[in-house]
Amino acid sequence: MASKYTGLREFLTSIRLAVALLSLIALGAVLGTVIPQQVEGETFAARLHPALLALFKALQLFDVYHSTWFVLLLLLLPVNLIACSLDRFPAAWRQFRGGAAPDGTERLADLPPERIVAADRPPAEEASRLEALLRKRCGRVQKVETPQGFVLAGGKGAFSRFGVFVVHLGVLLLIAGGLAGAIFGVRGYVEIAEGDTANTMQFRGGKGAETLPFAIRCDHFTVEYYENGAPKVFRSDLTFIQDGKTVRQGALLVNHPIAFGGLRFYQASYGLLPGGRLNLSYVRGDGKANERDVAVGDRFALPGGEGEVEVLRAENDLMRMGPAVKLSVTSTRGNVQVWVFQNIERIKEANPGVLAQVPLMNPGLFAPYLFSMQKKGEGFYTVLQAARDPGVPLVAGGASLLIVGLMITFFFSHRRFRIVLEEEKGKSRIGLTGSSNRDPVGLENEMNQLLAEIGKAEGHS
Amino acid sequence: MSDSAILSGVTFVYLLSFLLYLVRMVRGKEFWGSAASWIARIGFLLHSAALLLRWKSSYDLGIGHAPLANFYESLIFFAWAVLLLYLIIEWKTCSRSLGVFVIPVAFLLLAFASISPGVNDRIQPLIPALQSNWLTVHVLTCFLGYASFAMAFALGIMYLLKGKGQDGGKEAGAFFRLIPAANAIEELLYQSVVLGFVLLSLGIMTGSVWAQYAWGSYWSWDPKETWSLITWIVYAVMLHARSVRGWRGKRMAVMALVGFASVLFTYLGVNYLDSLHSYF
Repeated sequence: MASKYTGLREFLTSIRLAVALLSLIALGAVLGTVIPQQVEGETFAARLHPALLALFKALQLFDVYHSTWFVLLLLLLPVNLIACSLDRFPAAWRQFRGGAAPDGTERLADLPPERIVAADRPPAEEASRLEALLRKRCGRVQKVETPQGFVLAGGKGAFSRFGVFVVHLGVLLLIAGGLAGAIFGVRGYVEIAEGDTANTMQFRGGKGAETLPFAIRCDHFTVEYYENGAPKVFRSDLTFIQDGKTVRQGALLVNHPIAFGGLRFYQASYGLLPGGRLNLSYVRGDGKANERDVAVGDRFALPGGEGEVEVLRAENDLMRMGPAVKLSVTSTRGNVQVWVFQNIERIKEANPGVLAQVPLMNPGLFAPYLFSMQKKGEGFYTVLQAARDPGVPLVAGGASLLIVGLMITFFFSHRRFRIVLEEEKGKSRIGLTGSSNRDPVGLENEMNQLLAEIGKAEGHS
Repeated sequence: MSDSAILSGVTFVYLLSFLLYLVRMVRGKEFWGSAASWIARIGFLLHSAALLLRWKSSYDLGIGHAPLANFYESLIFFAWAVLLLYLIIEWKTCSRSLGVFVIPVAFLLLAFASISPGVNDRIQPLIPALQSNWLTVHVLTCFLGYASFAMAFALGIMYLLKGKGQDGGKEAGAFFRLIPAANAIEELLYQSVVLGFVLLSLGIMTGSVWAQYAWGSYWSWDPKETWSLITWIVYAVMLHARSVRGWRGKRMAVMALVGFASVLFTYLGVNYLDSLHSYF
């Protein structure tokens, strides 16, 4: 039994398993980007040979990122990560605690000559100076007496041994956060026509809907364009209503989500309402006004049979003067065409005399009738994405740990120095050795610096 | 003079610099190397000036934003970052031998930006999704990371060539003699990969934060996202193989090439797949 467990342990803690898992995850990711996924996959599937199609379906290749095997790989990775980290932690701890203490067998004879300097005073005196020197750099210094003199040992940056564990913890949190989001998270859409109020969230992928405990009114939707025609602003002015009362109002823009009622709302999309509603009213002299919703192609008779009206065109914004419809009125007097603007009063104010110059814009052209129009319900609807993801704090924490851990691992190193002092004719010979878990160049530079400091003693030769 | 006209000129400055580095490697005379370095530095200054000019021009047009907002701008920043890192390495290591491998990368990036008809060099206003400070940080970190990986790639090629040159026996010539010692290349290659890995991690992270604000989802398995993860995994495997299995030398050099291929696919290849990142 014991050997079985050892085998399992070796398997779980092996770097081979880690590399294999990472490679398979990468491979799955490649497949997911190359094979059209989910909805797009359907048209692609139709072109596949039936046998190949069956294989793809069995391997869940049309939804790789949610397939059993891919999720299993993502779950096995943390197991491996935890096993590896636990396996390697004790050794890292020992290294952190200082590693092997000097045992007094270190000899200058083992050092390269360029790492040895001479000093005028005996080892006992030099040792206390060098101990202070090393302490300034390393904090704690160990001192061992040898038959020839002393050995001093110190280290710095020992915490960098733990960087890798911080990185792994970060990855674990990332996966945990992703999992929490996938299981407990909610993602859906709320579609609201301008001026309307909605309280239904459609889940993504047509998986039902949820009634929200509050309602959202879209007071206004704005889309602005740059001169080159690219969109500049998508903006929904929203009112959040709870129990019939306005609780919050705000503008929702892309990159500026609004959090409300445990959900976060994002400006996702928008569209034009099919047709829109154009309300045309007409009045004969000072008689009663009639009104009706019209669309292009509509025909209706004027009351009293004085003519027939046909709606020729409808524009949301004609020549930057706002909504307008073009009518053709046919009567015994012939045919009259007229543009009816919603903002005719403003247009008249801005352009005095315009109706005389451009009779086509005169809503009273077909006397004694006067036409006016109003666009109702406006033309836009907005689509808000709504999301609740309890995994986000975990993911944010995990990502931060990952970055901090990488910095610790790669931008610091555990450097250990030993200074060997040996007596020679009442004077000292001093040698320096060093080791590091990474960055040999940095170690070399620091050792040269340290050696210079060692040799800088008063009265050095 | 417009920034893109200057950049077209800089393209040829880099070409000249590359040719001079090549002459140095072949003739073995440091005079040519010194000339190549100075030309590269002048090119880099002009390049920097063009980036600043482009930045200023965008404000003059009333659509001010850092020049990191479309494919063209990413290409010219990528090339700039490559030059920046190379000139730092040249200065720190006092060795000009990497130039002949790195400068062509910058040259090709700029040439592609200037010549390819599919690349629009006009300053464009930011569409709503791109109106975020995270855009700047994301592009900055990603492309500095890519540039570090480009260094590792060039060092990998240099390492492998050196191996080939040594196999050739005595007839190695100036070219191979001028390539630094294998362990020096190896250490620099490792440092480049480490820097690139940290920057890529930061790039993916800042991209996620931005996606969380813009689209309400920090990760959507969008092809570019997915490929950046694949690239991250390739380099993660490389770093683990080195620290745990003790991979060195040729294997690391080959991994640097594989990693850079993945970087290039993440950057360019993915555009042939549907992506949220269609602006880059």
